[in-house]
Amino acid sequence: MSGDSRGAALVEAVLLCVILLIPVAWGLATLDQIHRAALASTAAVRDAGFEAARSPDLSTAEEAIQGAVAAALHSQDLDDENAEVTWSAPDGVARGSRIEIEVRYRVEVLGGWLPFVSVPVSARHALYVQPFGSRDA
Amino acid sequence: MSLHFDLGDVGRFGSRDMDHRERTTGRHRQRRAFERLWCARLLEERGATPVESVFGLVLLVTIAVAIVQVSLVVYARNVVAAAAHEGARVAVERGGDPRTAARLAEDVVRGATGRLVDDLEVAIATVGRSLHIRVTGSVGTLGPLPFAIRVDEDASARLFDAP
Repeated sequence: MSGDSRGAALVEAVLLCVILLIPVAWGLATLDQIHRAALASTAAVRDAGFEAARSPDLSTAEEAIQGAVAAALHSQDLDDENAEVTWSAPDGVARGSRIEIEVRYRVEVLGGWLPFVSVPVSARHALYVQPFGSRDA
Repeated sequence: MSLHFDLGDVGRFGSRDMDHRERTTGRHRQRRAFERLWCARLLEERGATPVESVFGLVLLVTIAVAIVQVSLVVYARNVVAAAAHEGARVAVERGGDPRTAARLAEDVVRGATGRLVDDLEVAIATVGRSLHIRVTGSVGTLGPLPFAIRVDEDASARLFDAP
């Protein structure tokens, strides 16, 4: 080994660690976002289902669902603009009817730098309005 | 311990300045020879690569442990936030019972993290028709670090009147 290459291995190791650390940190942040989105989505559909089931009509249910989804996403510091909520109640929200709710959330992989690169996270929840349960109206 | 080297010329003017050579003591000769030997060994750099590799390995292990630590804290933070939200929701759905909310929040954290989160505390306050729940805990650090990392999340939900 020549005198000029003294300490080269150490410098290379440090540089390699730093360079490798950037994608690892980025991957960790993305996994954090995906985990939060998964937790928030499952909570959102469950809460939205509860709110829809206690709503007297479809328009009230729509508002309640949107509010519940937004609250669940905000609890994990997520932006509800990236969420898409679809729900269906073919028989209305009358007692015994079936309500199905789905929340899809797009996790931006590179912090929104690339608009078409995202990880979709979705959750679906189906419930029946209790036939004999009490409700507001 | 005494070192005896018979290296002949040890001075800059050794081969030309015979008077200087005669004046040089044996101790001085030994010292110069010893220094020369050390310089030669340093220039050879034998063993430099293993030492540098060890430094690099220590750095790599430290970074790996740090990544695992950050992952654990992030996971604990997410679970604590979810527990706060679940507690608030259950309190709302069960008519604002704070004990039920606290128990459920603790169950969620314990069930999802085991003993990862220590010193778990759940505080609930009702302000008007809103219920606020705050879940705090600490995540122990890996390795010899003498401190724990706090995780603190809160959530709120609006109470509604039972029909």
